[in-house]
Amino acid sequence: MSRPSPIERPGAAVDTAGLAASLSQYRGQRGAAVPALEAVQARYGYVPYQALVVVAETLGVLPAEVFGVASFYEEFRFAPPGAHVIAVCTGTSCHLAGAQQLLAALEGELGIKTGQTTADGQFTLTQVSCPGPCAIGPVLMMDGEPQARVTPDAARRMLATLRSARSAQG
Amino acid sequence: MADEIAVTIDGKPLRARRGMTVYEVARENNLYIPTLCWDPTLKPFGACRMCLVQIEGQRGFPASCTTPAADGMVIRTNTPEVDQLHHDNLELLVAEHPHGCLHCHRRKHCGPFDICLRDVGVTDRCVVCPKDKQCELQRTCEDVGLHLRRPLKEDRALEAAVWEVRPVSLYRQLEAERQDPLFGRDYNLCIVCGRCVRACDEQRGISCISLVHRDRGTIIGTAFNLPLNQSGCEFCGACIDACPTGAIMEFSAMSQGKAERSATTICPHCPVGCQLRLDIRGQEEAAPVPGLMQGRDRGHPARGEDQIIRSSPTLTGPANMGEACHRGKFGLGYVSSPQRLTRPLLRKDGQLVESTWFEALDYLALELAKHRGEAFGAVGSARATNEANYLLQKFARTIMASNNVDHPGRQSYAALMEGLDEALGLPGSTNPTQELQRAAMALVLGADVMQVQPVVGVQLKRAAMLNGAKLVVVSPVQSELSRYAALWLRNRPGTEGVVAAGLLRAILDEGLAGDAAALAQRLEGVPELLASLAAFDAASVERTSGVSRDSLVQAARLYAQSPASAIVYCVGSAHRSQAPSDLQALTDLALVTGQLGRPSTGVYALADLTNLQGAYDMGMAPDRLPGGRAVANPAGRFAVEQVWGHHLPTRPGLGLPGMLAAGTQGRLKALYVLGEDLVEEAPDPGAVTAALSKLSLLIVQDSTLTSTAKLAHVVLPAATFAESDGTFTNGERRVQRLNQVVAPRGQSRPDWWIICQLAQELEGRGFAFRHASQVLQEIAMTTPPYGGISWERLEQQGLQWPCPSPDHPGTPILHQGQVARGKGKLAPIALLTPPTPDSRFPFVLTTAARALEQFQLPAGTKWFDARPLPEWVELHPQDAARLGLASDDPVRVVSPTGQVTARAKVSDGISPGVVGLTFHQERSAARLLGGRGATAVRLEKATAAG
Ligand code: SF4
Ligand code: SF4
Ligand code: SF4
Ligand code: FES
Repeated sequence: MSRPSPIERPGAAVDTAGLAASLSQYRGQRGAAVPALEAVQARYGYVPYQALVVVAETLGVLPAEVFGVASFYEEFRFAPPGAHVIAVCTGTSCHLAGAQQLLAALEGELGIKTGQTTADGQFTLTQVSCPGPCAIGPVLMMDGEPQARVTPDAARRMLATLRSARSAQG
Repeated sequence: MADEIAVTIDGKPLRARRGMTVYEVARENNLYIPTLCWDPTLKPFGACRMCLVQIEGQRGFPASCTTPAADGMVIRTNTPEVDQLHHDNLELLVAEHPHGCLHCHRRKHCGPFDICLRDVGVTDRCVVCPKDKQCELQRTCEDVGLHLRRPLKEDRALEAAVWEVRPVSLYRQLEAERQDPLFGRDYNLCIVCGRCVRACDEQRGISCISLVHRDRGTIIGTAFNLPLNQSGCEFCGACIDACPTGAIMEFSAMSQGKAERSATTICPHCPVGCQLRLDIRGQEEAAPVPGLMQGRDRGHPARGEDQIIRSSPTLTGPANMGEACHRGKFGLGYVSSPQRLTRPLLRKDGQLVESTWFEALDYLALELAKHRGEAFGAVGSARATNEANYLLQKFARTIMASNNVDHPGRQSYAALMEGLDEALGLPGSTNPTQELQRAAMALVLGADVMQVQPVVGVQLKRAAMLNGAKLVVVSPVQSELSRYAALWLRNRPGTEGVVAAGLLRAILDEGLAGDAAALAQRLEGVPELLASLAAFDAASVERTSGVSRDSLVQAARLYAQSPASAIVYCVGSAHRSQAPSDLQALTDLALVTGQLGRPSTGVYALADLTNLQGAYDMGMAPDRLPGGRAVANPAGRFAVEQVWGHHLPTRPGLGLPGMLAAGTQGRLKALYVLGEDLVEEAPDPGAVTAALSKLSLLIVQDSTLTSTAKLAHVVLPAATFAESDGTFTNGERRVQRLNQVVAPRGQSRPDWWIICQLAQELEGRGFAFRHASQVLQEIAMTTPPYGGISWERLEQQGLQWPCPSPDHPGTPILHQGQVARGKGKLAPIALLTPPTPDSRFPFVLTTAARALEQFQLPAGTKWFDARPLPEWVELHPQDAARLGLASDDPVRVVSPTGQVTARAKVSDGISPGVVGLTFHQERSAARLLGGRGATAVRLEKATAAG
């Protein structure tokens, strides 16, 4: 059951048949976009275009409808995440402690906007809403590790360390 | 009445019906409440908060478009608080839309090059927006009285950008979407009312755009922001017509200036017969053509350059009610194509040279006089009006004394109609298109409805979406409609008749239609049908068609037991030869179950050419006179002779193939071809060219210099649909008025006018018509089902025949009470032999579903890439693996009679052993089929892409 899908996007190594089979419980259920998308994201780490098409086919709708739903949830990503995921807390106390300046510094340093991934696939910059340790703000999650009191300068140093570690590797 | 309620709005006591919203009550009574997200064709959405009102006893300000009116409600729409709310909400809505001009009192007087005293950026001005003066947002701002106290946005970046003079995309700073064909989207103008998204979803059942969340807020978009033609868009344009701003606009409207007037007429592209409102640039009301008939002054200089810049379906169109498709919406540019013929052409020394009407008609009068009788033939067109076809066959039969009249689409359509006539007593589809959306069940077979008659497809989708109708789709390939099907019977190509027979048999075996004796009371031909059904037990039906017994029984139950079931049979290129027998079996199905003669039941035969029904009714056939009377029947002939005052030839004439053969043999000397490109449409263009080249006189009447016209001795420039008055009869037997909305290009003239001139030049009586309406008057006299139809009566809604007398309201539903012929007559199932693959041709060919990125427009359409569309051949992954083919590989599709090069599309939407071809190039497709219906083919790897 596949509608002709006109484009192949790079980075979309999606085993359509396998994915379709794993989503079979949602067949024909127009309202099941979110659980189906969650399954996709669990499988690939993000929502590739081809997988979105499979979800749409399964639910019996066109891709735009699923995409529309997906775009309203911050949890869904549409491009593969970078090797390092940097998430800045934008909760109230971090905000007061200077999270915006931190984000701006990171955006400037990486040359991307929040929510994007650098062209070399190394860094993804996102926001989280309050992982908890409010007393030590502004907080930044580096690959899942909370980092305390990150000033813009500290963030730049952190990036430099990660970059040099990478070039040392190869 | 219990359903009636009383409400008071702004002190006025009003009556309303239960279930109406407060807004609907106000609207019905011409009380103004501003709205922006409300749309007459869509469900209330309640997003824009423009329509807030005060209701006594309720707190706050509810949205009137979503609040149901209740008995005794007291509503205020114009208190100072409500007014202020309307104003403030509007202010919020326009905050991101360029709004400098929206609150300027001078807006209406501003020209594009005027100096703005308020410093509104050049690209931000309403006057540069294609929607200017037709914009609902502008109107709302006027009505609400938008007056801004300060600029809404004080944004440094914005100010800087203003000075750089960038496109309108300043406010959201989004890039305008211009990569799609046909129309563009600029979401900087969007107010996120969601009407386009809901039109695409609710109205059309597509949903290729949706509300998408981006970092700068919610906006409209496709999945991954891909172009529309990769997102499943059908280019129906419903979103454009729904949009209250200039965010979505046709390219034609962006580039050709502003409309100065509008007029309605009928779409010329298919038998749905959608009513369209055309927005036209050019001030002059088109003058009626007949003034040109005075004296010998038949030449006339070209008049103003009227341009059709936009087309939108009308809500009042009886067949379409607000719907259209890409062809009606975007496919009308050919009217002002530079390829148009503007003067008659005459062959002199082997060359076609420009001439005058005077010279051309004189020449023709002389030449035609030499070829009276059976040496003359006339070819009409199912794309031309009733009047043109009627006059052409009258011309051939009276002045030229020849019954050699035909048109290319006749044979297959006549076979369908004769089948219906035989079984039911009337040659026409039984029920109106619009009723399909209220059917409880529909059995859909044949080609993809979404391609052949898209608006009928929309009705079917709506039936499923809104009313939970059960659609049973019988199709070898997955299509857009099978997405909505309760049951998709995946049959082998060419076995629709077998499936129908299987359904009949299942219905009888299950006892869903009473026993033979009960049937025989209502119907004729019961024993013969039963005998013929012996061969169609579930097992053999499954063997031939691939449809399992279970699904057959399930479908049979759905069809027989639903309160209102309709049959929709769609005739595509690959179905032409099998269609008559398929339709007979399906008519049997309707007769046996009694799914006939009530709303939303019956049999719909959907064909592809606009006026096939009209051409049939007008007697554009070698063996039939107007009204379907047989030429060979003296009584019928006599009736027509009475009106025409002319003796008619008694022997049936030659059909088109016969005429071409006679031309080759030299027996046919003169041929008059109206509006058909015989060469390009033929499976074998060489043979047709040879036949036409042997003629002593070939007259071609067309709007462009077609391949056929290039062979002619005389080419007469014809006006297009928008330039002539006349009537079409659509697929639901509705006679509709085609209005002249622009003046004919150059010296082109309406078909009926040209035929009349020619006839009069030949001193023929009975052609002194001064307007198409007079021709219609005569049609009413000679064609009994049209008896009560007149130009005036057709003004708004058209009339569905039979309409025998001037006071008859027309007949939307045929066979009410009982079938027209008294007792329905069953046809025994013909033994059908679907194509069988063999070792040389191992695949069965069918028509592929249209791929997401493909849609078809008539050639010559502006803004449409005129290159021929590539063919795709769809095949199952198993077959692809065996042949070593991958998607996109070039493939040759070879049948015993022809071949086509296509690109492979590997998909499991098709069964193994079956291949689906897109059939974009009618001619090569016809050659491939070689006159058969479905055929067996083989696939070969091709070296270069085709
Ligand atoms: S043109 Fe039709 S299908 Fe395409 S987006 Fe608009 S409404 Fe949807
Ligand atoms: S594009 Fe037009 S119809 Fe669609 S949401 Fe924006 S303003 Fe409304
Ligand atoms: S459905 Fe047919 S009549 Fe309607 S707009 Fe399309 S082509 Fe024209
Ligand atoms: S019209 Fe009522 S909320 Fe938009």
